[in-house]
Amino acid sequence: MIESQRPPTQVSLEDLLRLKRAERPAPEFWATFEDQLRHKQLAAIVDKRPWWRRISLASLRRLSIPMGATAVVAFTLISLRDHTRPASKTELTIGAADTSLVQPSNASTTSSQRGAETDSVAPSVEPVGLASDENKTAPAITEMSPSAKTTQQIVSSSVASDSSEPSLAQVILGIDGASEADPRSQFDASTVLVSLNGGADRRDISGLPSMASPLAPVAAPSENRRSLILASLDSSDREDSASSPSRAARSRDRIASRLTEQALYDSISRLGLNGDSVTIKF
Amino acid sequence: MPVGSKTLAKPLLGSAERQHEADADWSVVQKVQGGDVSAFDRLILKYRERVYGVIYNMAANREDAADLTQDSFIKAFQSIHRFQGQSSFFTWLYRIAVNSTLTHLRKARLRSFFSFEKINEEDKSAEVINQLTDKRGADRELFVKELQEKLNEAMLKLSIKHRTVVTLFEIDGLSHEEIAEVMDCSVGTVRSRLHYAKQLLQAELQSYTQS
Repeated sequence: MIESQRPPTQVSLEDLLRLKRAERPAPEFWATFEDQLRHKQLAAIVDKRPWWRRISLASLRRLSIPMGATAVVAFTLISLRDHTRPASKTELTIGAADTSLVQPSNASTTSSQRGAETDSVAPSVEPVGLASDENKTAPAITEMSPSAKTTQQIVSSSVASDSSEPSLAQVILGIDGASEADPRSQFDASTVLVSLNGGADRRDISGLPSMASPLAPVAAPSENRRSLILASLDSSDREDSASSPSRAARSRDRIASRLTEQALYDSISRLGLNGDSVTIKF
Repeated sequence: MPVGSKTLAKPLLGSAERQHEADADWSVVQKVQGGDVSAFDRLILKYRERVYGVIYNMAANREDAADLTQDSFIKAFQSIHRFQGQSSFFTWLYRIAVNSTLTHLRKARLRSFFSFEKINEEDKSAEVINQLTDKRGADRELFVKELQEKLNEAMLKLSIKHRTVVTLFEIDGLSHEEIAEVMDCSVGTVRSRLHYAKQLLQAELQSYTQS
């Protein structure tokens, strides 16, 4: 209807587009086309399709949610494992140190006792391991440190059981026993510490409570410093005590009294700056 | 209902003739699915020109169109066991062809090599060419070549999707519903794209339509 009303000379857009419909290939083109298609078809039949081509999109869509959930879970597990890895490494190190320290003394203990000991030691294992290292280099310091006290506890518990062969714990206890038996060796570090604190620590050492807190064996820096000085002093005192015990005791007391924190604080507080003048209190 | 007598679940063709055609295709497809590979040749012979025409008008390159047509038939052959008959075979085949062409055009977006088929001047096309040639008073062969280039230039100024809609509707004669199914979009989208594309083409070709 519209086309009949239009002037015969006017060409519409649809007419122009129909010209494109008339763009057709020559008949010989189809012969070539058929040959090529036949070759491709045979090649497609012979060639095995790769496995990813055989996966249809529909099956991928079905699996998209489970695959996504699996990926999220895997990512979470991996990130959690990475997050907790340093802690597990520490535990492994601790376990090794623990075994080297406890195992020789547990030769006659039952497996249940061994497990109980391991459980009780586990929270403060790292200091124990450190104490075992210190045993090799500076035995006097080890006896002074609280971690060594823990060792002493373990040792005493293992000694309490009937052990036929000498263990590391017995060796450590043997040192203590020798120091008690020999009057010359009364100037060991523990005795020094007892005398420094007015003898109150002797009770603590004998009836030391179990190591409930993992931070308990950690010594304060000032204590470590003092222990080092006292340990070096102890070795020199052992030599001096053979000649004159009273002299060594005096020098030990003198140095120990100087090393107290209160004395240090007092000596510092004696000096003061007030404007241009320096005040010294006597 | 037996499989052999299954009719298309969603007939889009509308007319009884097209429905009959779709049912005939479905029976051939079932033969291919049953192992009669040679039956697929009938489908190739039936649709190769239409498929080639669509791809050619989208790609504006006869060599690419030939390759893409062959690839489309091979893809259809390889995937024919998955064809369930929920649409007509030619709609399914068109979808393969259009998607292959769209993928190719996206890859070769920057390439500007065109090669055209010759216009077969018969019936309506010859009449249109005569009208335009008489008005312009130009040499017929030169004018046809120029017109062909202008048409393709105007088509290539459209986006790929607009070009596809124009090709399927104006050149190949598919309905809006069929285009929507081939392009996997709504009928409204098809109409909208068609309207926009024709506006652009009208502006590009107004020297021919208003002369």
